Amino acid sequence: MGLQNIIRLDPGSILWTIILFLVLLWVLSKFAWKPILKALADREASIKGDLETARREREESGHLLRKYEATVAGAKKEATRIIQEAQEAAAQVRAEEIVQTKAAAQQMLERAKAEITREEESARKRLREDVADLTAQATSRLLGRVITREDHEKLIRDSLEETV
Amino acid sequence: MIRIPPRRSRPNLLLLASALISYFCPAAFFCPAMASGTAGHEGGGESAVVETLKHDLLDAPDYEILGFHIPLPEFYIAGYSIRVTKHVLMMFIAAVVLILLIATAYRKRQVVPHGLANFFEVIVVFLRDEVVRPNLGEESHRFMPYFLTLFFFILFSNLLGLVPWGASPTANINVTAGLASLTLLLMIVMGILRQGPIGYLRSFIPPGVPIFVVPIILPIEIIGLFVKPFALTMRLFANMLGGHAVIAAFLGLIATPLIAPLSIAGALAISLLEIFVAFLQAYIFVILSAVFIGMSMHPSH
Repeated sequence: MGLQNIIRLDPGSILWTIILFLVLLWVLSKFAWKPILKALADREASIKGDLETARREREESGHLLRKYEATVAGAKKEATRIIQEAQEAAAQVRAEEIVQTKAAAQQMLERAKAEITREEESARKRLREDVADLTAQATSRLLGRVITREDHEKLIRDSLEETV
Repeated sequence: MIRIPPRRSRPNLLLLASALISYFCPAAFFCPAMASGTAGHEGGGESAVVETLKHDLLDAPDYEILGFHIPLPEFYIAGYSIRVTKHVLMMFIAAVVLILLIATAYRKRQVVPHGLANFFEVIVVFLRDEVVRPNLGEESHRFMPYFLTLFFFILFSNLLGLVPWGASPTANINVTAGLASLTLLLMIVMGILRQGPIGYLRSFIPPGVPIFVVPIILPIEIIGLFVKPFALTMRLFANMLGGHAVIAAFLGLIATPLIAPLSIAGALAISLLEIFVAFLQAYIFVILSAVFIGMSMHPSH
C-alpha cells in the first residue's frame, strides 16, 4: 500500500474531519464548555458582587464615620459651650462676690471709721472736761484760791485760744 | 509557625516536552535505517532521506507502529470510499486525549481552579475576552463552544505531531480544509441570519461604490469570501507541514552516526519551536475565524 499525498484533495478525510469536529463540538460543549463558562461567569459575578458589597459597605461605614464624627464634634462643641458658660457664670459670681465683699468691707470700714470718730469725739470731749477740771484744780492749788467756774472757763478759753 | 504542606510532585510541562523530544534520539538512529529498508523492499530508487520524509509527513491508509501495519477501516457512502487514514486516526486520538484531559482537570468541582484546570481556564478566559468578544460582540457567548473546540482541537492535533508515533493531522490539507469550511459555513450562515438573504447579498457590494465599478468589485468580493477560508487552510497546513519537514530533514541528514548529535540538536531546537508554533497557529486560526465571522455579521466597514 502506497502513501497518500497530503496535498491531494481527499473528500473522505475532509468529511471525517467535519464529522469528528462536530461530534467533539457537541460532546465538549455539552460536558465541558457550558459548565466551564457558566462557572467562570458565576465566579466573575460573585467577585463583582463581592466587590460591589465591599464598596457599598465601605461607603456605608464612611457615612457612619462621618455621622459619628459629626456627633462627636457636636458633643465637643456642646461641652465647650457648657464649660464656657459655667466659667462665665463662675466669673460673674466671683465678680459679684468681690463687689459685695468690697462693699461690705467698705461698709464695715465706714462704720469703724464713724465709730472711731465718735469715740474720738467723746474721748476728746471727756478729755476736755477732765483737762478743764484738772487745770482748774491745779490752778486753784497754784493760786491758792478757788477759782470760780466762770473764771475757770474764761481761763481755759483764753489758754485754748492761745494754744489752738 | 506556619508549616507549608509539601507540594505533591507532578510532572511539569518542561519535563513532558523533554520526554516528547527524547523520542527523536532513538528515532534519529532507527528511522533512516528503517526507511532505507522499506525503500529497498519496495524497490524504489529513492534515498533514505526522502523515505524518512514521506514516512513522517504523509498520510497513509494504515497506521505503522514499530514496523507493524495496523489496517484501518474503510467506509462507503453511495459508492464513494471514505477511508479512515492515519491522520483521521490521529484526529480521533487528539479528540479523545482532549476529552480525557478536560475530564481529568474537572474531575472534582472546584471554585478555585487548580492544576490542569488552570491551563484550560487561562485559555478559555483569554479566548473569550481577547478573541471572541471583541469580534462577535454581544452574541459572543453563543459562539464560545465553537471557538474553544476549534482552538483545542487544532492545538492537540498540532502537538500530536511531536508525540512519539504520532502525526499532526493539521499537516494534512484535507483536515485544515475541513475545519476552514466550517468557518466558511458559519460566515455565510451568520451573514444571512444577521442581515437577511438580500442584505447579505447586498453586502458584497461595498457602500458608496460607483455603479460602473460594481462588475469589477463584485467578483473580487465573491472571491474574497472564499479566499479567507482558503488562507486559513493553507496557513495552518503549511506551518505544520513546514515544521515537521524541517525536523524530518534534520533527522534525514543522518547518514553516519558522526552527524547524529548535530542533527538531533537541530531537530530538538525545531521541536521546541514547534511547541510554540502549535499554540500560535491554533490561536491564529481561531482569531482569524472570529474576525471573518464578525466581518460577515457586521459588514459596515
